[in-house]
Amino acid sequence: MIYIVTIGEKKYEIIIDGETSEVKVNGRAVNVDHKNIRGKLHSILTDNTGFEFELVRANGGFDIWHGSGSLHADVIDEKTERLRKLMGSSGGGAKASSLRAPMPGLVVKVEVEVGQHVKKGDGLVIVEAMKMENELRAHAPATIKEIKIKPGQPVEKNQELIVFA
Amino acid sequence: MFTKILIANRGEIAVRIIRACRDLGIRSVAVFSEPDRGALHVRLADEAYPIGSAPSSESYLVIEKIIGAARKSGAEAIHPGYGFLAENAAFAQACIDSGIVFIGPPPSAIRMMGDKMAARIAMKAANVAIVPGTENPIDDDIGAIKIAEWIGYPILIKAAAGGGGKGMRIVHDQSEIKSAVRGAKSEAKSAFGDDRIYIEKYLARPRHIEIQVIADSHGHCVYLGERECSIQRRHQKVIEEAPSPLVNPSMRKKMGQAAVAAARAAGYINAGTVEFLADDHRNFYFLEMNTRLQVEHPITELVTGIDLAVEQIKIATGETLSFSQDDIQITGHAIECRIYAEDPSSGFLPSTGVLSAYHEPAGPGIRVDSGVYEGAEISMYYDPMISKLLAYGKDRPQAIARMLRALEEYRISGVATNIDFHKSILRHQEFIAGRLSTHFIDMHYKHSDEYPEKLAETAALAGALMEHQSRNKLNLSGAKKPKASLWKRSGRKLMQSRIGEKGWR
Repeated sequence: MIYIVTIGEKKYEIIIDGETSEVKVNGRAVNVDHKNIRGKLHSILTDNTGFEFELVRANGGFDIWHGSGSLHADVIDEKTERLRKLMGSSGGGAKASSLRAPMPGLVVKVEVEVGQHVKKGDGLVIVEAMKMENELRAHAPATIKEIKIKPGQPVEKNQELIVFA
Repeated sequence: MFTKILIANRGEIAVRIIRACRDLGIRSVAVFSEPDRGALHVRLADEAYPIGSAPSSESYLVIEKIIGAARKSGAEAIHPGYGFLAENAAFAQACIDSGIVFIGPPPSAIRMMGDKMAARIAMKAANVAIVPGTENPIDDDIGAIKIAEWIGYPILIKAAAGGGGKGMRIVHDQSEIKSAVRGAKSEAKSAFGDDRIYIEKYLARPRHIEIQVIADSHGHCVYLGERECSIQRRHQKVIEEAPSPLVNPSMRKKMGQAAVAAARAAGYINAGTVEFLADDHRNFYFLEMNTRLQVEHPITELVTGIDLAVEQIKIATGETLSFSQDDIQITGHAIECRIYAEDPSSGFLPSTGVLSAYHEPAGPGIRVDSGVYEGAEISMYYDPMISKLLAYGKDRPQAIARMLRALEEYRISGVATNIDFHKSILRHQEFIAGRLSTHFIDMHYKHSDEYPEKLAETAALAGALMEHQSRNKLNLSGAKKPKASLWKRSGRKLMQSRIGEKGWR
């Protein structure tokens, strides 16, 4: 079986045939020793180098926690990858069309207006959580289409705050 | 000695004080808000009392509820920890009025040091150098301009009732002064209900160095060396160490004596910290006094061998200090990294969630003061600090090496942490050289979203492996059964007709 794994900008082609101890990563043979410690926690020895991951299914792949943080790995098989290419969507998906709250908190200030153009890095909304004020910034240039919150309003995690045009 | 102490706090500091109580054979009483029912401090204490809902303004900050729990439990004393009610003079007074011992300084000392301007006046009177500036409140921008010209730009406008950077403004030249005065006053008014502001010289690249003092109620006061806390982000300490790479024995003695003078001027009893700003020429200026046990107190414990939490309790019972200044020796080097649930890749936004995997480092020279466990939740209601990771070594290089080892061993899943951020600071050549300042992070830290290639590759491999295994499992459990041969199918039919549909699955 051939899997295409995407982490950030990087793609890995991983071939697993029957025996899971011998796999190929981007054409290179790698020896894998895998041990499930418990639950979602796994110890992996690749060519005897040790790693420990917790793998949580999320968005067509896994959130992989590596001890000091996490990264997202998109996992699809080769057939699906080919299909996606044929259909013209490379799997990257549409760009974010809205700003969502990364954590629950209280809206302190809205720094933009409807119709305003923002650059990458511009401040959009200030949300107070855990006694600290946090500025949410634009990840990409955009135009503000709709503002769905007001100062003083509590927001839930993932709640839509601002819609981009 | 007390038989029972109530701890008016939560998290790692509540756990730390419960441990001190156990060391002294004293029963501990925890208080908890609704979401903290399963918190570590509640699990470890001998007794626990609910005090209300999640927001601290309805639980940990309500004086009557804390005093009520103390009365009900029969605790003779209350330890406030840090934060919450620790530097609230009214709370200290309420304890005394209820016949309960407040483990900390007298209310008068808290009040005096809480007013930053009153503290500056008292320090000047005690011949302790203060950051050049005013001792009287500034009313308007005309007064401010006069002062600024006298001490020279840039200047810092600060709130008298201040703290946490609120009501603080840096002013680089005269054109900025008017709006800065107005802004600082209104921010101070809304944050503290007190719009008095004053002016200090803004030091270009200061180091934050503080002295731990401890005083008993019999007139003895001793300094326990310094802690350097220059590595800060947004006025929030991130890494602390003792001793400071800058401080030599003569500077230590001078700072220590100034700190003791400051404590005496305030009529201070119990453990306290006098904060100074210092420059690279070893000049130092009084900044403020914190009238509580500090977050970073363990590094002082590691290099002096003195258990500060235990000493605090002994002093509160009226005991005389068991050591004098001459007994204090600074041995080895200690570093503390504050492990926060925050995400360096998204501008250090706090990160909430359940600690789905949690493994603390150990081994030679490592101490972890934490208030969490695997499965515990980091909620939005309280401070995002997960733990304080401490490393001790015979010298600074060994302490750094051990800290890096421990950071590598720490395993946290479920919330983003600043562990990698700590690693990058500890590996920075300027940090290794001990050239620190409160602007260190702004000057030297640059976030990178890059992962080590080997890590990313192995993660990709693990993802593919999990996907492969779960697909195989699906196949085995029969969601998509491979087609059986005609022989088998006819055989099954035959069996079904013989034993009936029900018994065959």
